[in-house]
Amino acid sequence: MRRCPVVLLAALAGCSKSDPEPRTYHEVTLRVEQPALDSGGPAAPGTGPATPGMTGSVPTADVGLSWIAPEGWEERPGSGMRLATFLAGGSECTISSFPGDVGGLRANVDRWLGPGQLGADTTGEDVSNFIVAADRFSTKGGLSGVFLDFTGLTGDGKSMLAAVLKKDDASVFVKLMGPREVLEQERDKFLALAKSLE
Amino acid sequence: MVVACLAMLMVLVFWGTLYQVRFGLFAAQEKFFYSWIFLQFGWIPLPGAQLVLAILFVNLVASMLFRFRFGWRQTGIILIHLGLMLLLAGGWYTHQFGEESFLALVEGEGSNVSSDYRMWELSLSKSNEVEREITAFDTRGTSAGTIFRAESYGLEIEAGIYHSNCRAFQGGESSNTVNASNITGFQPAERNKVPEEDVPGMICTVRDRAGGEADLLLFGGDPGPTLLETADGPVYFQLRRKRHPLPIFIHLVDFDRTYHTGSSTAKSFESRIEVHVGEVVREVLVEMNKPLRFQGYTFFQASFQPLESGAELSQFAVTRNFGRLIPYFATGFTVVGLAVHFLMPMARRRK
Amino acid sequence: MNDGLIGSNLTRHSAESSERIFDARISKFIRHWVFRHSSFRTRVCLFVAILFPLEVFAEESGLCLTELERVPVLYNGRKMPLDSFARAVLLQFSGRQKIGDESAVSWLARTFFAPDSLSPDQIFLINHPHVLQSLAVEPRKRRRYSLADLHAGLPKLQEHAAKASRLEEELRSPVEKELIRIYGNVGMFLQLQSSFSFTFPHRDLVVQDDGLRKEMGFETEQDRSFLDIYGKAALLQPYLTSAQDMNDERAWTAKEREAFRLAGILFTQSRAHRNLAFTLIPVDPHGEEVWVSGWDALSLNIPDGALRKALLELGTAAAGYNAGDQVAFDMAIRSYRMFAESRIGTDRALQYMEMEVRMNRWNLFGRAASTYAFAFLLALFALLIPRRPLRIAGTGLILFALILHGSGIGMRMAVMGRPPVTNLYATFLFVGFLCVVLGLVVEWIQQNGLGLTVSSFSGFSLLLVAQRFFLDGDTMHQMVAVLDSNFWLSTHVIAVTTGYAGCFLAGVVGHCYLLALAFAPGNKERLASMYRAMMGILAFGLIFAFLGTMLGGVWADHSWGRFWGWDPKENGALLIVLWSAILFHARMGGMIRERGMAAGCVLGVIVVVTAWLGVNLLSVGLHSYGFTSGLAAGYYSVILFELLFVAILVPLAGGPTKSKGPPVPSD
Repeated sequence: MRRCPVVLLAALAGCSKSDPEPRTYHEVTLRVEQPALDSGGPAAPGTGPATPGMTGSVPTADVGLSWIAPEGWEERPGSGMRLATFLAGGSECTISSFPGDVGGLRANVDRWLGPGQLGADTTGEDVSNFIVAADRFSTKGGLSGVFLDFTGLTGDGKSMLAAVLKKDDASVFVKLMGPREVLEQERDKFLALAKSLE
Repeated sequence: MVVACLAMLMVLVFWGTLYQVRFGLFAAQEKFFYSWIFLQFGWIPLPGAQLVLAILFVNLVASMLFRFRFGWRQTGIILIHLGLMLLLAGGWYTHQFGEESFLALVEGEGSNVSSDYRMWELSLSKSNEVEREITAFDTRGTSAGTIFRAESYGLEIEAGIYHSNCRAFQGGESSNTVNASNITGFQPAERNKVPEEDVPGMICTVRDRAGGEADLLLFGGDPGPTLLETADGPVYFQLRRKRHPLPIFIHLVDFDRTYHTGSSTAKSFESRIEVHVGEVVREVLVEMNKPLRFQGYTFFQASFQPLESGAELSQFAVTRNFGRLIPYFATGFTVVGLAVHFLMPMARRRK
Repeated sequence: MNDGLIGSNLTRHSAESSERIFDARISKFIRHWVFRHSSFRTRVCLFVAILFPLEVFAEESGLCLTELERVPVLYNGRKMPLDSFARAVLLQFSGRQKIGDESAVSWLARTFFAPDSLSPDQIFLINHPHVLQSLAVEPRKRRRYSLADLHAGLPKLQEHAAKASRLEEELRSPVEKELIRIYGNVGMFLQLQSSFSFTFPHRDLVVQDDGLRKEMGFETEQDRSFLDIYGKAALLQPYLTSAQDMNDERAWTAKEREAFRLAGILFTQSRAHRNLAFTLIPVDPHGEEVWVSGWDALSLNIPDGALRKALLELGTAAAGYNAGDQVAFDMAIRSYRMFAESRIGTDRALQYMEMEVRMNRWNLFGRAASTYAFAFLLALFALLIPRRPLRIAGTGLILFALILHGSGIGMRMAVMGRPPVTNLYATFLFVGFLCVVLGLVVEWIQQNGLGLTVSSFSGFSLLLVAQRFFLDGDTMHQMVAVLDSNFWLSTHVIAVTTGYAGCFLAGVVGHCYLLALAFAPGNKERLASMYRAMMGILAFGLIFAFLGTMLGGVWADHSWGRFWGWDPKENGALLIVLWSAILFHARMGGMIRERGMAAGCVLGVIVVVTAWLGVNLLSVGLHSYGFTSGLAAGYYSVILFELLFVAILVPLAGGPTKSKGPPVPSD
């Protein structure tokens, strides 16, 4: 209620502000106990609460992969081309799959070492040697993969463990990125996860 | 004159709309549409919509009285101006005397009072039961030194600190204030763009008949009232949104919402309520676009919130409008007037 | 038709002799070329008949997909024919409803039944050059890229999109929004590719054990599809249970091992394809209608014979498509359709699927727009040589276009079951329709070609603008609960759009008036009739704009409790009413004359466009990229154009005193 003109007049008439007068009314309010009450603010009119968008899970190329989650790693459902996300010792480990060869091994290694990600100071020759020396392995399901341990190339800060595998027409990346100590700790479990892919 | 006023109104509408984007609807309304004069850049006085509309209204009346020739030919114009006058008058009337509030109920809850969107009150009650008598004071304009006198409770309450919007915190240095949720202090905050979101806080001193004194801290976000033992017995204090008594008691039985198949676009919201008028109870379905009307009050299904506990909260918009039908008449007059005014010359030419 | 060319119009008193000579020269030119041959009317009809056949019998390579087009799909809450779904999806990816000459449904069928993991279809529209750079993709001229182009950059796309989506929406840059959008599109495309993969033979699903294979009824040792194996899952069950009982894997028989292996693959495959976006199968698991994809339908394992049969039909259809067997394909799709329709039952949407497919195909609005354009050219000729045959031809063309236009609106109404205007796109269609009708009325009253010019121009321009909104995707989406009220949609919305139509058309006439005043001020009679038309139309617009605004208030009061809230949409409509009122009062008060009135009407176009589109711009924000930036650009250019027009022409049109009208409100 806008009583502006009235208040103006009142203000002009009586210089001192008068104390508020009490109102009385009879209230009947039945409340039901809720575990967590909101502070009673009115919700926006005309809409419901913001419902999340209809993204849903956008799966991958047609791969049909399964794996065995290592003990102690908390698994979360994937979204997008990401098949799964794990919480491993405070860092995040992801499994993603893409159609085709997505540029090849070298291109991706270069990218991971590049300024946007690990930012390691390596020469072209270092990278070639690194790739050649990396362990090749075979998973339970017969997929072939390369295990890339970047802790040797980066300094003491953030680093990454990666496994790049091929299944049919698709490429599968398993990546664990985090501080060096965590990677040292979780390396075995990471390898176990990569080898369990089928 | 008219042109100038209309032009000014256009400027205000346009400017106000742009302003709204940044500062919110309420602020824009306050500054441009409900004001008489506002100061731009702090010192240039410009007319607000109320002033412009008032001048237009006066102009309309004057032109009707002094300048018009009341002949057949003028029927159209007369009707138009009558209609517009009615519209402006109705608008002003509704604006002054209409009441808007809301009522939020979780399934199973009921109430016979609705809450104001922006105004708050200090409420006192002798009990905390479902049914009780409340004495309440509006807290608008409260500042240090404001005194609330509750004769029937034998109490005098003097406000020490009042913030229209603040954040509360617990812990810190211990103070000797009493509060139901163990809040010990406030930090004043800037008013929100949307005033509905402001939460006030108050620290006051309560003195009873026997000379006892207590410092009370009340926060708008307290889940329940604070109890003080006074000479006249226990009294419950609460700083809460101003309550408007309703002529009926509404009990929410069930809230239901449906969506269009396979999407998150809402199709309809509806609340099944029981309406108690005295002893008579009837069940009513209130849905979007189909409100409940009773004795000058209208209850609209406004929105809802699903709660963590899984229950649903349904929110009604409650309005009380005395001049509700005026715009309908006004529109009718004006449109007929417009049609007549423009069609008459055509009719004449046909002859 | 050839006689009386130097007609009565030219012998009219003309203050400017040069004007007369100008007209004579042009008319001689046209007479020579156009009227020399047979009746002009017939030629126009022939032209129309050849260029605008309604049913396009285009040559489509591959199978004929008329059965597939009519399969019902649930998308965005609306049940639509697969044809509409294909168009909507392709529009969303690439901004067009076709790839080259291939129709959307043909592309989609290929994507479903013969997916290529490095698909060369250039379907992903990427506008922002920075996005291309960050994905290391070579720019193409048409800005549309295929999965093959993009696949090398996919990991990077995923990482960037993930990072960008963690930001709050307002804080995302245009590049980030674009990345998220493209990532979503690529993801959806990959999903579409796997929609029918349960029917494809898979390398891993070979039953290697001979004994087990015979039991399952397979003759040869070849790749089976998920559907095949799943159908025989019951046979595997006893082996699985007996295998589970024995803890030692080494003690398993060959059959048990094979069964276990197959079951494992079934499990992982179905898990990988959960919740696909292409939902075409209505199922009823808990009494509530839910639509799922083929994969989900299988994994839900509902004991429903008809459902299983339908899924098998889908398998047959896929096989038929790949074998090029039209008959098998059609029959399978038709059986599937019958299943789906029996499940949907009496839904209204079903009855109008056929109509919707036809509507998509006929492209009524596009054709109407071209016809209007042609009519506009004709009308311009008619203004120069005011000859009756030209006017009749013009009227005929406009009426033809109007029929197309009106049918389009009518069909939309039928399919949606709603009044004509339900969203922004539809407002352009409707306003265009009304403007054309109003223009024709003016022509009928005045008989001088003005009505033809303005109506064909408005029809053409408004349909063109509508086209831009069509690109946003499905334009027949469901209404939100808050606006869902047929009564108010038919009254308030129609009244307001009629108001827009009136004021817009008055603006168009205003343009003509100012042009005539500047370049041919001698023809007083023509100017006077133009002016009358302009005033009449403006009055019409004002009445309806006012009525519409008030009805809007009534709707708001009736449904939400307050008559007027000063919110942008209400304010916009109010601006139109106020501006028109200002013009009339200024005229009555002698503050402006005819020239000023015309200028005011032209400026009124700015007000109309602001009310119409300004709201959308405000809420979306004036700095976003993608389609909406086109909107903002278009809006500002209209404003600029009108301001320039008035600024240049008003002084040019000469005349006494100030007549620019009241000052334009500026922010």
